[in-house]
Amino acid sequence: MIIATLSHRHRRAGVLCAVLIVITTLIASGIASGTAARAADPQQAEYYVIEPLPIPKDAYLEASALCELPGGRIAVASRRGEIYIIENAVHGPIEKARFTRFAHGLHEVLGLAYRDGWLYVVQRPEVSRLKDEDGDGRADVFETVVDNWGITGDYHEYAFGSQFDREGNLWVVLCLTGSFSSQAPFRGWCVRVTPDGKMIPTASGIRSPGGIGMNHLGDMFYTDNQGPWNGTCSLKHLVPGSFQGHPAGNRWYELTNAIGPRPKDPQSGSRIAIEAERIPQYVPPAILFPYKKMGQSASGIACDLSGGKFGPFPTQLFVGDQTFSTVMRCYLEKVNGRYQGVCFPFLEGFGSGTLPVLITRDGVMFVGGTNRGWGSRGNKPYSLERVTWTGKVPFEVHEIHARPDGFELTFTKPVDPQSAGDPKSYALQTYTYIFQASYGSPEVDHTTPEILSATVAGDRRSVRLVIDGLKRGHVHEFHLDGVRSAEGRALWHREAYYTLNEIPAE
Amino acid sequence: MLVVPPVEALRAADGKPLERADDAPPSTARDATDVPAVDFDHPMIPGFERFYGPFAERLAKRQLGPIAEELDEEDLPPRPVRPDLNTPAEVVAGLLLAGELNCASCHAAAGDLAELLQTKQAPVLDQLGDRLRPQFVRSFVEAPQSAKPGTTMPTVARHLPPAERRAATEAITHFLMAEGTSVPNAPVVAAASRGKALFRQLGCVACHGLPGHPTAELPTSVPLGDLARKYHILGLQRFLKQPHATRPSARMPRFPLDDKQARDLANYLAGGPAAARDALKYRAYHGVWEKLPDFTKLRPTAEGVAGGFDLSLAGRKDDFGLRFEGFLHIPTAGKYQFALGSDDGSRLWIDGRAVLEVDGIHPYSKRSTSLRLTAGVHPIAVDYFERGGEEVLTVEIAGPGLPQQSLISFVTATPEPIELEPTLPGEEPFTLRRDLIPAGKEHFEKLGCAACHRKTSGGKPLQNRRAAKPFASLKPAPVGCLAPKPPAEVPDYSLSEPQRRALVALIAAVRAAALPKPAGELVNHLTMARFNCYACHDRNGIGGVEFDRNPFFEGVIKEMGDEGRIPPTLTGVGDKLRKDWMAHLFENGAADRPYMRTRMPRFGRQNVGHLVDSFAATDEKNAAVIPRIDLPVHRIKAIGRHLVGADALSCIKCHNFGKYKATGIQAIDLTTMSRRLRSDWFHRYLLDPQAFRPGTRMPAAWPFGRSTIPDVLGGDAHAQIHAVWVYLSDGPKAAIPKGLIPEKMVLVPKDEPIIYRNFIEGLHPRGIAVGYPEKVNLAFDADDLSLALIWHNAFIDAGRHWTGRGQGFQPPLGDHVLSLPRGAAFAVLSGPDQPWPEKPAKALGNRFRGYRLDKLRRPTFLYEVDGVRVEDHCDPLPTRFEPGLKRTLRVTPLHGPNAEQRLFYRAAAGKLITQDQDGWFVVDEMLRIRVHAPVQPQLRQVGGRQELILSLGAVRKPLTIVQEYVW
Repeated sequence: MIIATLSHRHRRAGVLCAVLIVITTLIASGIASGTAARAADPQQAEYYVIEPLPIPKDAYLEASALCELPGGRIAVASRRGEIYIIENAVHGPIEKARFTRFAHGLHEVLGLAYRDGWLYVVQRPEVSRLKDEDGDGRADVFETVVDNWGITGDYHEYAFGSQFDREGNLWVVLCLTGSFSSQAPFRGWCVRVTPDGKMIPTASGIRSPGGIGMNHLGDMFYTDNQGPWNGTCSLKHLVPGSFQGHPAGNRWYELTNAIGPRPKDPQSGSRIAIEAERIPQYVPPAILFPYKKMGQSASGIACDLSGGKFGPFPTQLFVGDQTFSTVMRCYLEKVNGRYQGVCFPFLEGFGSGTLPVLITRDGVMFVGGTNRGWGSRGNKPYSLERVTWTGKVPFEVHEIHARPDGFELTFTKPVDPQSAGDPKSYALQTYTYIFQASYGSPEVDHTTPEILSATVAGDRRSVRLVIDGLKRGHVHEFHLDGVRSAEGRALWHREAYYTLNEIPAE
Repeated sequence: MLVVPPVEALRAADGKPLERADDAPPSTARDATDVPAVDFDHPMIPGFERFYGPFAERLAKRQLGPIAEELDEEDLPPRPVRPDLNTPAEVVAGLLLAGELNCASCHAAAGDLAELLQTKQAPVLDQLGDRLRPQFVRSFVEAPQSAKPGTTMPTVARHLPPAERRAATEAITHFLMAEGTSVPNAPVVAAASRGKALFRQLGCVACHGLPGHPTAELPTSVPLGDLARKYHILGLQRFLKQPHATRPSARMPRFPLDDKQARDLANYLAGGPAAARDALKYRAYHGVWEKLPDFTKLRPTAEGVAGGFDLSLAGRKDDFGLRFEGFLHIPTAGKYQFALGSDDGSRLWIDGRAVLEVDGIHPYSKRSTSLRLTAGVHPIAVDYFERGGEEVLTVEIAGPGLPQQSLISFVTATPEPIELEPTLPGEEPFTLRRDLIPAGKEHFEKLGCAACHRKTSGGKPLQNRRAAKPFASLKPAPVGCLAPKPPAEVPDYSLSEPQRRALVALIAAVRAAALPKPAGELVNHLTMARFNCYACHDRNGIGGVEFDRNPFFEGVIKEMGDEGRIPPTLTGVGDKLRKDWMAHLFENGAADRPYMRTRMPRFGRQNVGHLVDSFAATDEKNAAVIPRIDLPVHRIKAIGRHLVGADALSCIKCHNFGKYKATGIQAIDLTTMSRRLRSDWFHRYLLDPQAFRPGTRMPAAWPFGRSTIPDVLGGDAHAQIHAVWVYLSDGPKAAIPKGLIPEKMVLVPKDEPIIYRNFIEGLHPRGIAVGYPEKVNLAFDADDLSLALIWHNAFIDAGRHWTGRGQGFQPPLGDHVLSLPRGAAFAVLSGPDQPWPEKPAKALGNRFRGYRLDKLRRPTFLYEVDGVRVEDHCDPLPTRFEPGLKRTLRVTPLHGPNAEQRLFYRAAAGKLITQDQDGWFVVDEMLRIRVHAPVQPQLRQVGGRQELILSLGAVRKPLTIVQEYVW
């Protein structure tokens, strides 16, 4: 039966239908109010202040993308397809922040980037660019830049967009159709959109991204989530031409020769390290976020380019977790030509499920949240918060570097040589995940390496651990309960998870 | 638990690799060679082979998956083979075997020993003809291990001279087959293929392995034997419905099967090779029809064989046709009734003649007819087509001795007759000889059959007349039944060496009065091993779904991962579950996890009921902090309700709540918690779910024991959990928490238009709906570059997309919804006779360029079609009734002038377009249109439809078309 025939029946019911009107703004104002979620971490406020932005009562702002605009303004998009521009958000009292609706009617916006007077918007069906031509503060041009990927009507087919890279490309990661299949072109791929509006297929093997962002060198990363071929959530490096692990989207190699021939499919039930040797195009996750320990749904990525205005972690990456309502901290290094590194717990207690994360050039972090469809610890339906550093340096592990026979840990403050030089102050175990076609994986192949020695450097800023039993391909989980600062304080965060894909030769 | 697909290179007894069943679950696992290869030449008891047999160590290592091959032994995690029970393993194994082999039926056992044995009673043999085929019974009595390798039935009467022995087994066969009716097998092809799917999904593979697949050859697989030789289909169907009527000790549990499922399974298992035949051949066609076309003249898009009239074979939901062909087997000549029902059209052919027809586009409608048919094979065909909306096709038959049922049961893809022969290759015919019955009865009693098998004769149970020593006075040595070659006077169980050793160890322990007490974990373990609970559940790291069977455990909601497909652990089950609920599970099975395909079957309280107290005794803890809340109960419940709802912890995002489905994954129903769980466990579990279920997706709502909701009950985690429990204690009567019933979110344009980009029903996925304050609305299809829908009054309800994850396509909310022709309004045609292109406009290489808003915030859609740029703008058009639309299309050439180009504009399409006054046309008596353009519209007839088109020729300079719509 076809729609035209059905619609005849509506003719008489017209008046009745018109009465069924609910005003959405009423629903919104009822839930959005209330106090900020309280961080359970008592130390956090010493170092970072989290303040909710005064979202207007009539905006239901399920924050889904953020970017910095000229003139100290911030653009924020919502899953309901609106874009707001916020003035006075970065500095000064938070109550002074002023929201103006710039656009509406877009389809699940998950990427915002600004260039030359245009606001580029990555929405589900396309990359568009928006402009306010008549100067009334609202967009009136909605120009389609690229819409060459397929969508089928499945809610899961999200498209996350990056900031512009150094060549002026916008990178878009395209979620699969659901978790297991790719039913329209380039689902499960990363594509680049060039300044002249061309789409270049760039990497395959993507499952379900939660965010995409660059490090300080302009290399692009995205987060992928636990599910098929992803034993746990992770941060992955989008090397052009790479395969990121989930083979469902590989059918689209037949549509493009941009990145060479289709790679071999991975073997289900295997391990990441084993498949990385079998499949040359496969780039293992740079950082695995151990499930339930670091989070459950890795999301937005931001790099601190403020040169120290956001605390003692310049050039590190900050990654959200939607389920845990947190922001994690990541340090990456290159070993044998590939990125790998460590993640640390960082900020917690955000109002809703963390999705986009932005750090402005002058070191202020913005964190947006939503928990529609996927629950989160932060129990508000949506949130937008500002994080500022108090100026006080926390005692934290700053970086962890892999060494041929162990690790080198650097600290944000001088350590107490007694405790930091005692191997018993550290606990270490390793494990990995099954690389498999079914959903997720438990931790497997546990080992407990022995810490043979801990040597504190002369400046007391680093400790060298010599370890028997490093496990290539394993997460190395550190607990540094015994380490004290020179002032006698314990670490703010005592856990660290290093993904040791490669062991350096020297 | 490790989750790894099966390894393919299992070895059969003859050393050749086993063929993999072609429909086994997909696997890309690497080969492994360390796979147990086992001969089914001794009683195969899964609990023994898994924990005490010669393969026990290797099976435990195999649970680690391929990594066990890759890693050094020292790096492998510890893997206990069997639980540590403070009793020598051989004695535990002996207890397990002595119960499963029913030793105590000859060698009387008493006291603790009797309790520990939990003896498995042999099958009840009354009315045996109702189930089994006589040829099998004969060969099985004669030589059980060769008729059914791996059986626990011993060979008896070995002391008789060969001729006498043959006479005795023949007589016993006639005695046993004298009661009941054996029916020849007539397998139903489609039923067998459904049965196979059921066998895989229900959990049968957990114990048996899939026939023809390496899993069936694992040492832990309960052998099925050749079921087509053993059972007749109806008999197996009866057995599957009520297995405990004949096997009361319930090693085979009862699954909740309806008659059809039991029939399907029986057809699959006992149908033999005939059941593997295909039912139909099919050809699929893609196209748009109003009536059935002649498919034989069209080129199919796909073809193949089908198990039934399966419309999904078309590969799309709308605009397709299917032709099914097969051969109908009519058992007896007579008058048969056929019924054909469909949405949209269909036709049934029998013997090359169209006998029934329900043609055209319509909702489901059904017709029937009667035909006289000869016995034998008749070619049939069914044609079907679908335009849009629902799709259904039913084809049924009724006739002499046949109640009305799907025709598919009697159809095969090839014309060979269906076998109805009572014997299978290599079998002798069987005719019951009543004269042998008394001798058979005599042998049955004398040979000791009645010791194990219940059998009544003349209304009385038969008695065992064979004497044996009591268990306590048996010699702890490999003699008698336990000798490597047992003497001819005793039954021969074909025991393996480790089995003999275990039984000797048990006898020694009995003699030495060193038997453990029937209590605690020993009883739990023995019971779980006997009933093979370990095939699905692990307990304390022992057992659980085996590596090779793992892929057969399927979940409906894949996103739930292993939790949605692997049965739960029984570690701490006596702490977790209420005693009355455990008793309920054992008696009735369970259906609380609808997302899991595998079902918890019924074992019967008389068989496993003792586990209720035993699990409780070993597991139960009372350690939760349950504070007193100084509030009336109704207030505590309201707080619990708030916590569970969308404004607080949102438990209902993942958990179903009674009849309300969760918006995310659909985890176990919250209204069942209080009837299943102990409150003390619930409190501790919610504080740290990971501690109880490592890797669970269940979040810690109170991370580190702290509440994220400071303003409820003072932020006290324990009090909040208690409030949730008190609230959930209302079970199905608990008040519905917030967030379950989707709210309407009607978008109402007030001062300016509202744009809504999303999935709109009737459009491709790139939909853009526009609601104008003037109460007229439209939807533009950015895949098709077409104005797709127009309607009046209410705009759209965003509730579907703005609550939960937003799955699905949303129809317009208002009235008078008209769908306009699909495809872009512009196309280059070779001439006015060429049909309008059917593909979506973007698939033809055209581009959507976005839209601009004017001063009134009304959009102008921008796109490029066939060399021109189009600006497509609509304004509300006042009329006497609801407003119409005035659509202005500005067309600009994209490139230089092209004299060859013949651009057309399609203003309307429909079944009937008539001309009215003042330039107006009426389309299908619903829509009035008028076009203002430099050229005159032409009415044309294409493929049974009418179209109003404008021939624009070569576009050299910008031109404007204005079209008015009133409806």
